[in-house]
Amino acid sequence: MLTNLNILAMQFITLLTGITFRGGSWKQTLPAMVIGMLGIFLVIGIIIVATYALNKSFSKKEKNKEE
Amino acid sequence: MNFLETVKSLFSAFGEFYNPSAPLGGWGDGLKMLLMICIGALLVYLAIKKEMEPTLLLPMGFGTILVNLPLSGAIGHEGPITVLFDAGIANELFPLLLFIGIGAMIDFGPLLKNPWLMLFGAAAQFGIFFTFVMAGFFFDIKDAASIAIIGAADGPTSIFVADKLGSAYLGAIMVAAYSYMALVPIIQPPVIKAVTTKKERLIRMPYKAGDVSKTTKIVFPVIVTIVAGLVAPASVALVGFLMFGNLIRECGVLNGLSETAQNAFANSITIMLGLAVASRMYWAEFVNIETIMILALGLIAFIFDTVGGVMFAKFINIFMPKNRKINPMIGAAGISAFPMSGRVVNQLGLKEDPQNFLLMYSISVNVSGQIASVIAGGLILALVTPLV
Repeated sequence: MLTNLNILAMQFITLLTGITFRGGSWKQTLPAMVIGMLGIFLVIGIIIVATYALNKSFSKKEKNKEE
Repeated sequence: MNFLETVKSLFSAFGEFYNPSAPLGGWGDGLKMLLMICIGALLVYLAIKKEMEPTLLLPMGFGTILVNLPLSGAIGHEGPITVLFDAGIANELFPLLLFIGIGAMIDFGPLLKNPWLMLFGAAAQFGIFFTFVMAGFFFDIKDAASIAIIGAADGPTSIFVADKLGSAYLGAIMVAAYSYMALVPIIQPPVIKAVTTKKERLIRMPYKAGDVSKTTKIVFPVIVTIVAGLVAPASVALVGFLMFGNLIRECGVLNGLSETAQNAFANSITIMLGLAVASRMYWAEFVNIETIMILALGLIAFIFDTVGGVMFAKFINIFMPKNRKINPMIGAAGISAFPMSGRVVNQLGLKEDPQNFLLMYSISVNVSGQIASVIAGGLILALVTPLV
């Protein structure tokens, strides 16, 4: 049933726009979406930790210098 | 050659509007040319009259008129606009150079005081990946990824990624990216209101001002470049040039260079970028159903970026004590359109409660969106390149 609907949707969109509907593309794009979002949180997470570490170490040192 | 023939040859360009094999009785191509000339004029109008991204839309609009005139000498093998495109966009040079200027303009100070705000910048890239899935239904993987990156709300990143992936729709992607960036004050408020309650929009967030050490400001761009480069090597060029610009600003010994990078340098590159991109706004490549779909998908990307940022803030609020709740609107500022998005969120806060000042938070989140969007661009490249 679902496959038939998929084929029908493909034909309808192709007819309407002339662009081929790629019903199976989600098998490639969906995992990429999940990995991409996880990746961006991972990179930003590391940058946040590094920034806290920078703040902690350099604000102390510069305060000591001022004193 | 007699007088009449000479005059006729002078006006031969007019003949290009009519092509017997074209649709609409032979006038189809001519109408497309005229449409593109009108689009160019519209971009010039929006740049001057509405001040929508004028530094880019003006050269882009004028360039569009130049390339769509019949028998235009501006494009083609030795046309100056094609030469400019090959010299600066085909090799991704102009967007990267522009990043030096953008980096020099950004003050990461308030963000460094509250590094946790960077999480919203990450969440607000959701629109990119969501649009990637949507665009995948209609375009091949490389074009879908190039279209999705419109959601980075960052022109140079969009150009860089689309160019690197060899997308055929660079012109449409550029128009969508820069138009929607300029339209952030119109696109974001209804979306934010749709996904927040009045009670949430009234949440106040007191801001504690504080200094960040100069050393932190100097080391930060280096650290970001190294971290992003190690995790997503494809993003090194993008992140690196952005952070290099910021290092020029923060190092304290290159103030003259920083000033130049922010103004004269960035403006010069933008002029060339705008003109060069116009070469991809040629009527034969631009006027088609794909362009309309790209514009629609670009809008979806901006909407879901906004939704992603707001929903993430709402999710965080589940775990926050009652007196430390976050105003979820600040999540929407995580899209990289700087500083429009930060200002829009602040204005929305003030509209709900004239004493609710969210500017420091929204601008910080907005700046983090700048970093996150560039990293997202690198991740898209890293994820998609093996699939192409």
